[in-house]
Amino acid sequence: MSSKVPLNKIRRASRVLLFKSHTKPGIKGWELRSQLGEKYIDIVLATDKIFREYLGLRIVAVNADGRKIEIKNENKNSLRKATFLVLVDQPLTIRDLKTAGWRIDEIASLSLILLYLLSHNGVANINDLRNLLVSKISNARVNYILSKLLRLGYIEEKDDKIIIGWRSKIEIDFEKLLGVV
Amino acid sequence: MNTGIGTYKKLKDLLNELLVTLSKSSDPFKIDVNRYVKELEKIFPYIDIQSLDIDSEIIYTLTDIVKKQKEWLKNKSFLFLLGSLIALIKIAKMNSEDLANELTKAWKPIVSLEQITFNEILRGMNYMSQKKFIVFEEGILKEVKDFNQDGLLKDFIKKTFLEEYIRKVERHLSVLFKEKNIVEYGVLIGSGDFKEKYMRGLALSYLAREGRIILYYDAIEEKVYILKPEYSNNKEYESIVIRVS
Repeated sequence: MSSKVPLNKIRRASRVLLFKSHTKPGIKGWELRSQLGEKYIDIVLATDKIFREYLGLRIVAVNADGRKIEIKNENKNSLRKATFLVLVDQPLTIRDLKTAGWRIDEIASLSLILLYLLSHNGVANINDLRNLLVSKISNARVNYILSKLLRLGYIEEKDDKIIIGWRSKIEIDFEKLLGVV
Repeated sequence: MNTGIGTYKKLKDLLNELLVTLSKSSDPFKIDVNRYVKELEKIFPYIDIQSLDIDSEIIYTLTDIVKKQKEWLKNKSFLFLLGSLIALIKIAKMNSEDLANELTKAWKPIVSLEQITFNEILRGMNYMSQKKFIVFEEGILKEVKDFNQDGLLKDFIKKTFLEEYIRKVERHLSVLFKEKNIVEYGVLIGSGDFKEKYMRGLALSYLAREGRIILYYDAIEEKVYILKPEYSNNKEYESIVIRVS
């Protein structure tokens, strides 16, 4: 498929997909269509192939619920409404994450919060989470870490409760985190 | 009104569609069983002996899908229960490093590039224009012959501030390297007053930049170590932020 897609289209798709143009990363299907033309799905698939083979990245499409959808098989209407994002496609190390600005206590806190939420139907009281974090990391860092995770969208606040955020749904394989796969 | 041939064709199309959908996805919930049953309901009054085989094949396939859906749900609910249990055990038993490692295995972050906007450039220019160039005014830069990175490193920084500390740190390091090939950064920085630690840190950065030592960062222990240059295979420089407190 990639042989039929002109290279300049792939370059353009890479730029459009990687540059952050909104508050949240990612670009909508209809925006891609307006930038790349009617055959934008073919271009995205060809770009994805190059990303996977040479860069260790991959392109995913997610619907409004944050659920990943298959770019190849999904219908055109759903793809137009979907958000397209670029994800890392290789296993990361703690060092990689630290280079990206994460501290070990922040990564551990996110892990802890997600495990807690996954075992409590995805909802938790913020004070319960604070108490849980204090048992594993320094008390002085808890509020900062919670606000960072909220700001980045890893967790969200809804009706005075904490729920799993949009970013966690996209970036984290919950079954792998739980160890059930 | 449906003829025998028309009914047969409709059933055949329905079966083909069902089989194609089945072959495309392993998820049994991708198939709308209800829609197929409704379609069959409409065709049912016109079914003759000739179409009976194909009709029963569709029903058999649909039954199989419902069975798969049941198994899938049973399996998922078991995994959910098991997952909750594992999550609670992990929370109770793991320390922060283990928890971080567990998440790392399951984490594939989003990649995005920030764009510099015109407003950001203006803000930066505004900030720069308000800065006071103390070094020029005080005349410290007279030491530097060429105003470039190498000039700064070789002449200005070394001559002005660091010479004494570089000597001190190198002497200390040579003593420590006789005992061990690896020295903990904190040991060398010492526990003296802040200025002393800061200057020793700067001296170490200078030595690392010159390739006379290697700074190695252990992400798990969150500790920095100093090694002799012969232990490095990597000829490229890498920046490490080290907090001196």
